[in-house]
Amino acid sequence: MSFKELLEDGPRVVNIGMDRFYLDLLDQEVPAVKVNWKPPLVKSSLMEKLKRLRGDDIE
Amino acid sequence: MKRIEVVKGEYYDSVTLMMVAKELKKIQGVGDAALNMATEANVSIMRAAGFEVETDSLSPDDLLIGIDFEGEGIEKLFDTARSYLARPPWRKEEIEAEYSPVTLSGALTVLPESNLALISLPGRYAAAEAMKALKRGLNVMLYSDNVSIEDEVELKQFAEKNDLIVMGPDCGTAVINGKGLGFSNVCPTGPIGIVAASGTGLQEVMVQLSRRNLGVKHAIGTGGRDVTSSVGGISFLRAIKELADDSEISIIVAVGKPPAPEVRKKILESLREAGKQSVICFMGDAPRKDEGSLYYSTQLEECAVVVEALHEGGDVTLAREKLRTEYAKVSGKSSTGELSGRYLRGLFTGGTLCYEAQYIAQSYINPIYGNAPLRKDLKLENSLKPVGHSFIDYGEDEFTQGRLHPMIDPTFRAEQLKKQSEDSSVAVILFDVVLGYGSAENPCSDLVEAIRSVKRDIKPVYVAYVCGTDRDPQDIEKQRSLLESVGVIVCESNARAATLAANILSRKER
Repeated sequence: MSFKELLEDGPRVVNIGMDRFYLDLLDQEVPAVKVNWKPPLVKSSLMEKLKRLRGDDIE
Repeated sequence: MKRIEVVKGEYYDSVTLMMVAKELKKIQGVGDAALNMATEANVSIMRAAGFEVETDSLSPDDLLIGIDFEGEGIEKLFDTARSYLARPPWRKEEIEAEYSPVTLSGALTVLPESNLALISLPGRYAAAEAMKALKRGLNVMLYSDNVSIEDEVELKQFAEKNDLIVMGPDCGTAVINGKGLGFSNVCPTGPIGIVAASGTGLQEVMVQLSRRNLGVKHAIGTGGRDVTSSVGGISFLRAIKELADDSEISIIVAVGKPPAPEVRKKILESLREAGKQSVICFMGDAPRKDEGSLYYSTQLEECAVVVEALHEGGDVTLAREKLRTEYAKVSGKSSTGELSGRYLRGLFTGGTLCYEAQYIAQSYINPIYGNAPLRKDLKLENSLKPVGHSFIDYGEDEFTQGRLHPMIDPTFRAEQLKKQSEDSSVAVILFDVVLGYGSAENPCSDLVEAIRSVKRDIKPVYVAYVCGTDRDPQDIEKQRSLLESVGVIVCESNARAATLAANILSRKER
């Protein structure tokens, strides 16, 4: 979704991080989903190697 | 008895940890409770609070729970802490019951029409998550700080190539189609579009517009570094272009500290090309004459006053003169009762509010020291030990490493307010309170407690500004009344508060 479409349609948000921002979005009836985010379990150098081997979108 | 428990590999956001600590402290016998992720800065904070932390085999992704408890059964309290973390007692049941995906991909299956990722992770993780979001076609608002300039440039260039925007890093405030993101005040929607490289600067302009019954459709935050040479204003310029194309927006406002010269040139060109009336408020800039469709202001309230005049088809010069007359009246009210001490201390949570207040106060009193001073040679050696006239921004990185921003948790600033109040050299204390989404639920209660507990024969004169609207969740009238109940003079804008506070002292000096 382009920046222009974001401005035209209004925000529909993936919240990654502080819960309070997500709750404030719900309060304003903004469509939102929160990610129950956890830090990567492997060291970043290993993650970098894996990314190179398997493409860019490992989570 | 102080004890630490380590929970390996469990991540919680800092607000959740603070809330759990606050709940634990309510339990009888609990002297102290601290929950932190085990980063180096947080380990130092836990140790300073008297908890013995063994760093062997600790990683920043481990959780530290520290409890100080008098009596038997401290183990039960750790169980309570874990149960609060698993099921926060303050959270509504229906929200708790919702499914929360653990990855961005999962989130996009739940809300496939998503168009924005709001990221507030610790800085070391934030850039990678932002890039993932951009690659999935999402725009990004990056609240996190401690993101490298190289990462910022890479993210913004990628966004630019793909017709997206990155707001931030260190972007706390935005409004898209009238909906607030991050720290934002509840304002009416209207024909104004704002681009801002400043968080509380943007909030103050929106609040001042709202008090003049003017609404904002979009307010795009860019993060302060966007307008530096290194980033080149990528997001700022992109935002101007979109606001220019929006037929519902009649006036564009640009806010921030002065950009790098080459970025400023591009911004002004872009605003001229927009063909709409534009008001530019680069605080600290030399005053400039209006030219064509571009109008200049050097202060935030003045910026709103100029917008109001333009919107109503009024005389901008007259509007500015009227404001100056009102400021003169504010100065005239500065003959307060007995003053003890010689110095002004500004204790701020909003970085731009602190900057603007220094900028105004320096016309009356000098020199003004600080942790974010107007001149490098005025930087305090120790921000916890201000000297002379000093302004402190408690939202600076030095205070937020391992501690929540003071707009979220007012405790630390309130402690400093008490400490400064008891300094016999301090005559006047100026402070801000920022309301709105994201901010503390009842920010003035800790400040009022602090003022009440000051033991000094003649307390300092307190001058404050509450940046908020009557639709903000904290109830602005209640917050103002709380402050006034302990004798604080509450002003109608940051500029007025700074003018009054500095005048009280300059009159004394005369």
